[in-house]
Amino acid sequence: MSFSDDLLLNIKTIYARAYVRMKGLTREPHWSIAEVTIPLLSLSAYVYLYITLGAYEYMAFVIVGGAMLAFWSNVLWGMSAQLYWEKDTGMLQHYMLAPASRMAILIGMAVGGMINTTIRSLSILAIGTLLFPVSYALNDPVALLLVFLLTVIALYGMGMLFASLFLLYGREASHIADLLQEPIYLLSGIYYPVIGSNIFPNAVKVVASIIPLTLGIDAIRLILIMGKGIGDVTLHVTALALLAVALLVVARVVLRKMEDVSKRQGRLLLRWQ
Amino acid sequence: MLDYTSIAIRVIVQGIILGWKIESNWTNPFVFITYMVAKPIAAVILVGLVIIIGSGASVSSDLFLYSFIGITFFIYPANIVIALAYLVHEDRAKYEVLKYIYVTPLSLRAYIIGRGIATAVNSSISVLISLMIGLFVFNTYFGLELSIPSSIDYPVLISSILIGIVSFILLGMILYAINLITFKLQYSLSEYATGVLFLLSGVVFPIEILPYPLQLVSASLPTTHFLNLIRSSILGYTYMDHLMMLVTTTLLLSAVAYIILHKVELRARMKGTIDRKAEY
Repeated sequence: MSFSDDLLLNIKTIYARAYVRMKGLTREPHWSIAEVTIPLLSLSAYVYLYITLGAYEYMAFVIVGGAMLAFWSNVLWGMSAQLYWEKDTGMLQHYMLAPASRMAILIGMAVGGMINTTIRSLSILAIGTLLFPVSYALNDPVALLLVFLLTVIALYGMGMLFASLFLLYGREASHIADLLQEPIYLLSGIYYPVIGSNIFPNAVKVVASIIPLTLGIDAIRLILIMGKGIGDVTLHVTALALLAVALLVVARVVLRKMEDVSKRQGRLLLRWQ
Repeated sequence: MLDYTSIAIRVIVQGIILGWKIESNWTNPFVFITYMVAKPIAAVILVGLVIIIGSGASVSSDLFLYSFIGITFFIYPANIVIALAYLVHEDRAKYEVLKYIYVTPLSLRAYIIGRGIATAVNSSISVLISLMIGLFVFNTYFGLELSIPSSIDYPVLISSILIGIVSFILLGMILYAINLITFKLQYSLSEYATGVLFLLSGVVFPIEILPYPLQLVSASLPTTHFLNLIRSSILGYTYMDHLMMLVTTTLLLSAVAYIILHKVELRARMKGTIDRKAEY
């Protein structure tokens, strides 16, 4: 197969896998409604907590964090645990038999997930803003778009890495994805600032910055709520760009390794582990 | 009658053993313990940090203890409701054993109770460890000087936990019933239920902050009275009103759960949903 044939095949694969995700948005409309409504419930609880404390300035922080949380949930359940679910539903063998690159399949999932989740995330932001009296100070929309795209690419790179790691696992995959919820909410500052806060030691900030969500939320809040521009988030942009490239490269290496290990151990298609 | 009771007890015990195994045998004990405590501890510390950051210079220890106790003991309803709502999917579609459980004598209700108790036991460990680590973290690293009074009313605390567990199992039973005649709702239903309970039960803030109509809903939830009763027993407040309300809402819930499960069971057999795999 020539390079151009190979490229075309993988582009078709990306489209096909992303299409399934897009179709899923309309196939089960109640899921889409739930994925907007449910985060709004917990987000509202934290807004009310800040109201109780009289800390009204943090209400917008919570709404932006809650909107970005949709991406983390999608990365965990729509990417990381996806190959485990494909295994459980008997679909994984079809992926393995297909001539396309496994990375193309993962990229397709990521692209579909990004589009779907962006719609959900914007809905959460819009409804949250309507429900509570918050205001924004956006002065640099281009910087906002750039930070958002880099955050999402880095996040889905992390999702592809986790999906590869979890290829070997059975129920562990689902439980580990579950485990990566609250501790990541805690570290990444979904409901409060982390990078700019003096509550957290520098060591915690450095560790938290390995999660693209932390840097992304912080930069988006600076631009969208505090009215900052690209010059104020240069470090965030550089770190996010590096993370995006590094995570995609590592995901590719790990996917090959884990596929090889799973095949040798006979666990690739083993269900109900 | 004796035979009926002994079979029911055996099924409940088997449900507990099975629940414990399924919840714990996917990994080694170290990873399992980490899993069981990391999530609740993270949630407890998260709420504490929101209060510390939102309070600025002065943290109100009353509000802090209110939220700290609320989020810690909310582990019970969250875990039990999620586990029972997800149970139908797990038994029917994933492991394909629901039809076998159903055809054994006295199985379904006793089995659900057994699985609920298994989750409640695991939750008790999570609550205890979260309380200890939460107090340690906030006292050591944030200098809050929180203390749980030595005069805890243990009989009230233990009774409220036991009544609460009954109430959450009944709530889980209602979600179980809904899932029995529907498909693909198992995740959203449990998340909706825990999301609504988290927002409206006064878990991290007093319900007086909510708009008035929502306060009325809040007052009808057993979780609201469960958490207030727990707070009263630990902090030494008067508790009789909350105890009465928890018992009343639990009795109402038991009637609703019984009626719904009874009706749904018949409907599920009519529609053939007990052994139909539609999730995959």
